[in-house]
Amino acid sequence: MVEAAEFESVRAALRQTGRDYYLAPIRHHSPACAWAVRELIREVKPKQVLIEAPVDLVGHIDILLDAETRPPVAIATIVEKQKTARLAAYYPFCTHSPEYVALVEGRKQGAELVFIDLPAADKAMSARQTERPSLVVDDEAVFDRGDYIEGLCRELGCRDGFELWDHLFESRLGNSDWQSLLADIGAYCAALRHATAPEIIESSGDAAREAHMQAVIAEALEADGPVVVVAGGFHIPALVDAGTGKPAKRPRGEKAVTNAYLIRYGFGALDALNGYGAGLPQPGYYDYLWHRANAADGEPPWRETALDLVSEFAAKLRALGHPVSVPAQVEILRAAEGLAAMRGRRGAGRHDLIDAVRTALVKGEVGAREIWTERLLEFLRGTAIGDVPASAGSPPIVEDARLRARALRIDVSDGSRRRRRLDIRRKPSHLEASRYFRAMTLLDTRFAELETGPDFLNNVNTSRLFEEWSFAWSPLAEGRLIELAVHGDNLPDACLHLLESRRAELHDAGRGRDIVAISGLLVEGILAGLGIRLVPFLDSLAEDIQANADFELVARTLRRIHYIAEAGGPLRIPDELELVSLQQTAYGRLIYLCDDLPGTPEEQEQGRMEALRLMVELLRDPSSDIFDSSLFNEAINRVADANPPPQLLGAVLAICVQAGRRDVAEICGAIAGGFAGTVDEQEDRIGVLRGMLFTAPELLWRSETVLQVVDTLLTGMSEDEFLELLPHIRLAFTSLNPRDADKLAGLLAAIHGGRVTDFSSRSHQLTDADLQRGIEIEKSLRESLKADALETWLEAKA
Amino acid sequence: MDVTDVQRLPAEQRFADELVRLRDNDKNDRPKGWQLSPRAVRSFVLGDSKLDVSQKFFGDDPLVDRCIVSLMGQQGLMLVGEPGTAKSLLSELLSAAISGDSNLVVQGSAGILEDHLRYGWNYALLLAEGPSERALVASPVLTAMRDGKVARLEELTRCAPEVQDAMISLLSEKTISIPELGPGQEVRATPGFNVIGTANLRDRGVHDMSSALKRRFNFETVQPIADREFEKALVARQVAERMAEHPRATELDEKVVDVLVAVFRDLRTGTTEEGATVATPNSVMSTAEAVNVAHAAALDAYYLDGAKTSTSHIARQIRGVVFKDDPEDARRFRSYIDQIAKARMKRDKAWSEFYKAAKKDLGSL
Ligand SMILES: Nc1ncnc2c1ncn2[C@@H]1O[C@H](COP(=O)(O)OP(=O)(O)O)[C@@H](O)[C@H]1O
Ligand SMILES: [Mg+2]
Repeated sequence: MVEAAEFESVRAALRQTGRDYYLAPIRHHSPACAWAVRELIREVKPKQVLIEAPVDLVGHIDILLDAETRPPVAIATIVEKQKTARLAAYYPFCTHSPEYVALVEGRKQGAELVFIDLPAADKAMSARQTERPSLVVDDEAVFDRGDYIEGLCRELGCRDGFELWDHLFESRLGNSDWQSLLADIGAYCAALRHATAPEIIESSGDAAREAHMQAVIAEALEADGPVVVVAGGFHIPALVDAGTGKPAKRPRGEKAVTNAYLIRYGFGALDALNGYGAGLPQPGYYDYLWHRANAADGEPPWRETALDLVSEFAAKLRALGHPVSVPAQVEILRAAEGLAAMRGRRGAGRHDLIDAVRTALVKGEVGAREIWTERLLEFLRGTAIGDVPASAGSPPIVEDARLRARALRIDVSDGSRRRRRLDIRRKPSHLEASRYFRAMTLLDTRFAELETGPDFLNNVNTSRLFEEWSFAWSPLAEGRLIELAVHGDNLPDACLHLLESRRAELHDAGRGRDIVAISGLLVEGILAGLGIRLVPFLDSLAEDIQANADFELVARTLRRIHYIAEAGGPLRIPDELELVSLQQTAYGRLIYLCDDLPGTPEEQEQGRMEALRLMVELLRDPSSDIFDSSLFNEAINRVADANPPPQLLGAVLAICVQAGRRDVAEICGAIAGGFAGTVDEQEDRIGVLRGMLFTAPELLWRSETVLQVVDTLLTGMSEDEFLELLPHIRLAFTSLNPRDADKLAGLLAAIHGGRVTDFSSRSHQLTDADLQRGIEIEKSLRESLKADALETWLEAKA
Repeated sequence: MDVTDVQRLPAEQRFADELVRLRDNDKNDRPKGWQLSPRAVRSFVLGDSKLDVSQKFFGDDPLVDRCIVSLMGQQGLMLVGEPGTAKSLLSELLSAAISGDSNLVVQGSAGILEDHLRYGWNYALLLAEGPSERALVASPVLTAMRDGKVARLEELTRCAPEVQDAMISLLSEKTISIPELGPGQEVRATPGFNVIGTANLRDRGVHDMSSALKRRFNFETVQPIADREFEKALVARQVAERMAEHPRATELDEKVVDVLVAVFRDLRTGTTEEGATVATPNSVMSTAEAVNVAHAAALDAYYLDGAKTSTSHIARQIRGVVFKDDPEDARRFRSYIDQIAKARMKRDKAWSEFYKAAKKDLGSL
């Protein structure tokens, strides 16, 4: 019970009338807290209002409170250290954010407005930012996780920390007893803090920040009261005694320049931070509650509020073409209120509404993420976008693009067009510049244009050593970047977003199956220097591959990825970007699809033959040892037994023979069988042979038996038969390269006697009569084409 | 049918003492016709440590809340989802808590006629006395209406469309007229009446629910258990229960359960724990199926091998039990074995035995 007493003492310490010191423990974007903060400031009429925000952003207070500023807005901070700039964090403000309300109300009361946290550049401010950069300072995770939260959730029947928060506190929005609300939040946060290990408080940077806040508070208390502090509830227990101990010195912040911009922010962006300890999700909903409470000058009328939310939601859905019947709306409301009553709440809260929509609208089997719930969440998220005065400056991504250009000595100081020749294979700094140009191109800024250089997407001139670019900074480019600002604060983030959205576009256009195109996006991403950041994109590509049912596309994609994995030069990937598992996914998928080969429709035959050859070549490559070739061979072996069309049969049998899985006799048998058998099309007679020549022509000379069989069959034909089949035979033998053709000729010479040149050289003895006939044929051909208006066919291709 | 199923007492008897405690401590309002308040019903299903009430359904508390609130309204409650996700269990628990009676069940099948939803006759009495209250044999639905209780319709989609249509008028009118007893004779639903249906919509050989019928129900999809450790515990416990009649059979090794549950979860979710994607089969990869595989493997080990159940027994049974007759599924299973299981061979003996046996079973090592 020591603990309980400890929590109670925090409760009591929030109002220290003796010292004229008042503390408001808050949670970001909580209207209930905002309400209480406003009441507190109205009651106390402080001389100073101290707010938990970076001390060096204090210069932005005026613009935040500018008449033209309309939340949601955010202060974006960019920290420059040793010539690199990074977006440190966003500090978003909604109309219903306690911090914003404190500023507005404090100014109204004529109080001095002070920010008390460490400077934005301090490393303690980003100690929690691990995975995702560019977040708001993540200091509210304690509200969402941990044993204490889980225990309470279990006790009170809440599914998570958010529901718990609403259940305990948000339900008291506008209540006249706001003092108890603040006191309860104080005690709750004291308990949360108690359940947090001191090491965590230290390592998360909280201790350093709190030391700073204590020092600033102590100064303020000395100067002029009353003093009101508005800070995250978690910090409050550490702040109640500020100014009572030995005088604290303000720790000095780190040497770094912080550029900060007030930017327009949106509920969408704010909600995307949900789950990163950045306050309450679905800001549109809380904004709505805030306005209802203000309109009622007290508690929002819960019943009517729920009713209005439901009917507005229904109206929005109707507009989108998903009408909700009146009885269904009634059922939503009934269920929401029933749930709220069962859960012991004053009125239907956010989770009650979410549950109720699911209860009333879902008809059938659904997964966890279900369309009606998604629609409701979108509705509750809201779409509001704020406004900032023109004097607010430009957003981080523009700054990022400029800084990067400067670092690469790409002149963007004015709008004139310049050229640059880049030695991309030998000079790392040139490669970096190329990546910058490529990124800007990918982003559609029209900043740079590649005049000459390798084209890795279409495999043209890939061995070129130089790239030539022309470029010019323009308002157009800047406009485009500002447009992209919502998708990232720096070029790589924006590029990544763009790749994802292009992929989504392909999917929407029904081209989600086109994994060759999607893997092309990967190439673009690598060229733009996204490197390790492409990991999530690799995951989506893996999904696409896994869902693909086209043998040929999967093979071509696998080849492309393998090519990238092995590539040097601009296409070289960083070591940490691991392509092995992606290749393995594609390989596995391909093997899976092998079982489709027997049923190959005619129009896909050639494509699949080529894919098979790609695979044979790939597996023969020494760099392919990451693939378990026995799986491929085994799958191909199954195909051979499953009665595929002749050409495929030849191809797969050849692979089996090469792999030592089948005897040469089998392929000989199949070739002979095809020859002798009944066929729909003449060409099918040599289908097996053609297939074999396509994937493994060397069988012809590696194994005497094969050559013998082919030779016997061809020479055993009647003249007529031979002539009929000749075009197909020629076609079949085109898969041999000239060297192979010579080799074959040598062997045939050995069998039939004679010299190689008898078979391979193209010396022809033509008579004048032949020539004459030829000329005549050509003439009549030309005439015939002309008659059909097809003369252009005769023009030589450039 | 499983022996244990037959012997199992209905929930209101199995947990009679819990129900008494909940009722005695129930401070909240009870809807008309309910034995407990909604909150106490929730406690019965999800547990209440203060009253020593056990948790019986796991994994989705808000779903239970929604079910209870649905049953307070005019709509019926329809639980859908794959087999083995505890739909029937939940339906039993809810009706036990709300009505104190989980026995008013119609088991859906092709053989169900409209009469099974309404009433039939005791023909001996009918011949002797003519139509009378005494000769009338009430259906579970009729009884539920008269007594203000919850009727349960198991596997509703297995009933013929006409029977489902009959359900629509029962649910919208909430009366059953009995013309044989005289003009205007009817049974009107008393407060407390409602219906819980269960259905597996993906089952083959089921009849689609008409949209008119769907409108009468609020739907809840019961998902397979999301928590891996809990699923393992549940499988181990249920196999142990089933093997109780073979006293000398030993318990399943943790490793064996681990491999089994991993395979089921990988194939069910389409993503392995390493994050690789795998093709999901059409066959049901439910916890209950996992129990069936483990049970078959245990029997196989016990009777045929006289050995402890190993992962090779699992591998041998999994195809027979799960991938019975879908060639596409066999193909998916093969690629799972080739690509996922094979790579795990070096993890430990359990996986390597599993791989080898599965490969052998697939017939091409
Ligand atoms: N989420 C769960 N909570 C508790 N038990 C479960 C759960 N999922 C599966 N089970 C177990 O699986 C068994 C099979 O459930 P059953 O009600 O027959 O499933 P269904 O009717 O959905 O086919 C249950 O009796 C229970 O022991
Ligand atoms: Mg069932």
